[in-house]
Amino acid sequence: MKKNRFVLLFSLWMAMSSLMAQVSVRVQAPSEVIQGDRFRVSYIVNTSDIDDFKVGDFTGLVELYGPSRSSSSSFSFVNGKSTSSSSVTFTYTLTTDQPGTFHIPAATVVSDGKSVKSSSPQITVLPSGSGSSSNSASSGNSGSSGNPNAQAHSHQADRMRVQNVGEKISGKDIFIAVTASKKRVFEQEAVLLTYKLYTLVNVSEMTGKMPELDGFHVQEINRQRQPELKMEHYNGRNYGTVVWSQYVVFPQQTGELKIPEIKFEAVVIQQNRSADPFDIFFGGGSMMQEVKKVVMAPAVVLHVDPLPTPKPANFSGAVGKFTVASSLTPQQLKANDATTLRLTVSGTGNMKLMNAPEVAWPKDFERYDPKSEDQTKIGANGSSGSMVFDYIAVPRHQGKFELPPVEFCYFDPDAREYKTVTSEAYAIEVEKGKGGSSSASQNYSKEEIEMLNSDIRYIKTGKADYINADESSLLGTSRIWALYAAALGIFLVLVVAFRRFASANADIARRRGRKAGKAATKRLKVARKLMRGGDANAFYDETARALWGYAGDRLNMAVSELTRDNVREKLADRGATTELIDRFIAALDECEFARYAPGDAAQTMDKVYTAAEEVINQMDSELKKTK
Amino acid sequence: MNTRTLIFSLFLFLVSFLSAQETAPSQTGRVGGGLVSKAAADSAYAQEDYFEAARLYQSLIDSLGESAVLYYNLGNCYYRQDSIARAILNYERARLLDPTDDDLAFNLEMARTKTVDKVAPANDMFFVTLFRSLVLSMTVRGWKMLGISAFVLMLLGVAVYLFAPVLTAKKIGFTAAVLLLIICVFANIAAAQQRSQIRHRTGAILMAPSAVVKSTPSASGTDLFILHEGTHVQIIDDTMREWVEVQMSDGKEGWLQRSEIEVI
Repeated sequence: MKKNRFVLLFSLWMAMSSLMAQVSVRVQAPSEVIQGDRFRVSYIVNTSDIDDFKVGDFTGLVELYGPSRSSSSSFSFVNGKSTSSSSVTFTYTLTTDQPGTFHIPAATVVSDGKSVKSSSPQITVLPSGSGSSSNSASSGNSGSSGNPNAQAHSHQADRMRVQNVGEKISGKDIFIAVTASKKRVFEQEAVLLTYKLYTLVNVSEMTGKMPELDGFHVQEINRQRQPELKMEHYNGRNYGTVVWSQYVVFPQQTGELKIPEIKFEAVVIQQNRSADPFDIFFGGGSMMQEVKKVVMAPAVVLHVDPLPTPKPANFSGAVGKFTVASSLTPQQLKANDATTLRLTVSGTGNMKLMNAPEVAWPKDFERYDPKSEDQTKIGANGSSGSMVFDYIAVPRHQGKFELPPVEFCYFDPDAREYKTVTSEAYAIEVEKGKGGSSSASQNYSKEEIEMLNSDIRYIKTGKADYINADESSLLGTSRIWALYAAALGIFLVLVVAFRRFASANADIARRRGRKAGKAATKRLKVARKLMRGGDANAFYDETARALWGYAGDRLNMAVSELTRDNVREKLADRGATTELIDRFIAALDECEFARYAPGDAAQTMDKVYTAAEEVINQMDSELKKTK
Repeated sequence: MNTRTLIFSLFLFLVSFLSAQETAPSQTGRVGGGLVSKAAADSAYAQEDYFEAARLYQSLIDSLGESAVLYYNLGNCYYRQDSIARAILNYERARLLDPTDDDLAFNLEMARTKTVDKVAPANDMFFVTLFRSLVLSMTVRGWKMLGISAFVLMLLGVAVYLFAPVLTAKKIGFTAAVLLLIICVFANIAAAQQRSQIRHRTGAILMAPSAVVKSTPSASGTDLFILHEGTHVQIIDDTMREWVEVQMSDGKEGWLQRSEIEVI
């Protein structure tokens, strides 16, 4: 009772959970079969709650048996979480006599009122060849992924003809075909090489590796752990085929490049039919025997063209198809904080071989080498995905800066031309760092002017001074001395002239001085005659003239300059005694007073005459002495 | 009367002298029948046709004579063509004619940095260095001008001394005259020194890419050291036909083949 209740509860819960899950129908069918073989097609419904199941017509295919229904359910309880699944499989066994391509009809499942339709895969029916035993009971069953593959492999392998021991394995029984996705490529352009094994015999394992290649960068595509085995009709035989390995090669040189033959070693299983049953019974021999067979994969020649010239200056070395995206964070920051430009180059091509694009940070920024992150996967066209470059820069001063767009130049082998894609341009606003701009000067107080380059200075335009011209000019050797001589000559002439002029002037004065006494005596003689004649007025005039004239001649003075003060001063300069000067001035005064004085006229005249004569004589002798 | 006619005749002589020399040479030269001007060479340089510019400058020098500016420009042309030895040769020639040019000194230094040999100059005595740099601080023309003006000023000083009525003026005039006489004499010595350097050129530039300096003037002589192009040497024995004895600025001496060097 209890058990029944549990089952009921369980199934109820199962139904609930399956209701919540999406109902789907999966078709399992081999992709190719051989004419006359029997094969199975299974429709797997991932729920047990099926109201109705319908399949369309198997046109061109003969339905031998079906549908057989089998159901399975699983329940797991992991870490407190329970999961459960249940499925129902409807299996048809079919065969066909006609080679060609057929569609397996879609199945329609009605579950909980909803109708779900399956896909309708294609099936290729190969003509029966001599290679495969058509009689073997095959149950070709090729799934899409996962475990069923292993099954498929073993099933298919069973269908291979198992050779008898000692039977020769010819090149037609097992060989490897090489296909290149392109034979004529550009340098750096990706080429997919596929090594495919064709076999009629039962191969249990195979080893063989691509050797190190000169002139190529090789990347192997990770193969599936259990390669998918397919049937292929070739040269009238049905071969079992496996894509054994795939390589993406990037030519690094130009010209005819050869990928050499590769040696594979296959292990072929042969049946030992003649084995003694007793031996087998006692474990002395195996019914199956492994035989090694060397299979050579042929060489491939690729014609590699150089990239067209001229290459743009900013060519990154990337060949393929790319796009560029960028982001700058942060765009507003403080001085001495870091900002990061993330540049994502995505596309397909020789991603791993390209250089990081140059970023033209403003001059004032301290920059660091970019970090790159590889987010690529290797595929038939080369690496695809994206390379992420992080550029870090630190602004040292506040201000508004412009980050120009980053240019990424690559070669597009399809368009056969260089293409440039650009990222965005950014405006960067840098505010004052902590503690003002002085914080930037913690490391260095002043920046040297950055000398980018040094070069010679420019030529001199304009007139040239010729050395010959110098020589023929005023400053020429002979002429300069003439110039000196001329200057000296002019100087000497001037000096001589000046001297002569001065001395001439001096002579006139001396002569006048020398003659002063004589002139005075002459005048006094005239005066004496006038005295005798009794002409008083004329006498006094003549005497005064004699005195003034003597002073003028002696002192080299003009008549207009003659005053009593001037005369007194000049005479003192000449070294006359004060007493003599007083007498001289007294004599002059006498001449003027005596004229109007009352008394004996003759006696006065005589007295004046004597005084004048005496003072002039004395003065003359005294001044001559001092001279 | 006599003095006045003398002064007048001297004045006439000076005037005729000055007017006679004011016939400057034309700035064009005749080369191969065609007329070459400095402007054409300058524009060739500006268009970065350095080869043509060098040819034009060289022909100007050949036809019109040496010029510091032309040698400088020619040196620039060779520098641009990466023939550094020729550039140095022409810069050195220009410097001989005009030791005061800053641009020239700069470019010569630039060119010298591209040469291989590094020769440390020997340390001369302080006064020798001072005298040399003083001599090179002006061109020949400059020294001559300084000399003549100092002479005229000295005569003025003498005149003051002779005719000034006051004693202090006489003293000043005398002192000034003595000083100016010293300046005049030095200026003439400096001018003569530079002129003799221009006349008797002993400097040379190594033009061969590399040359072995021998101990004796023969190919079998001991190899002393190796020099590379663009290095400056001083010729100390110029009497042999194929060999010259040279001295480096650090004092090393030896013999080089005449074809390997070119005199500045």
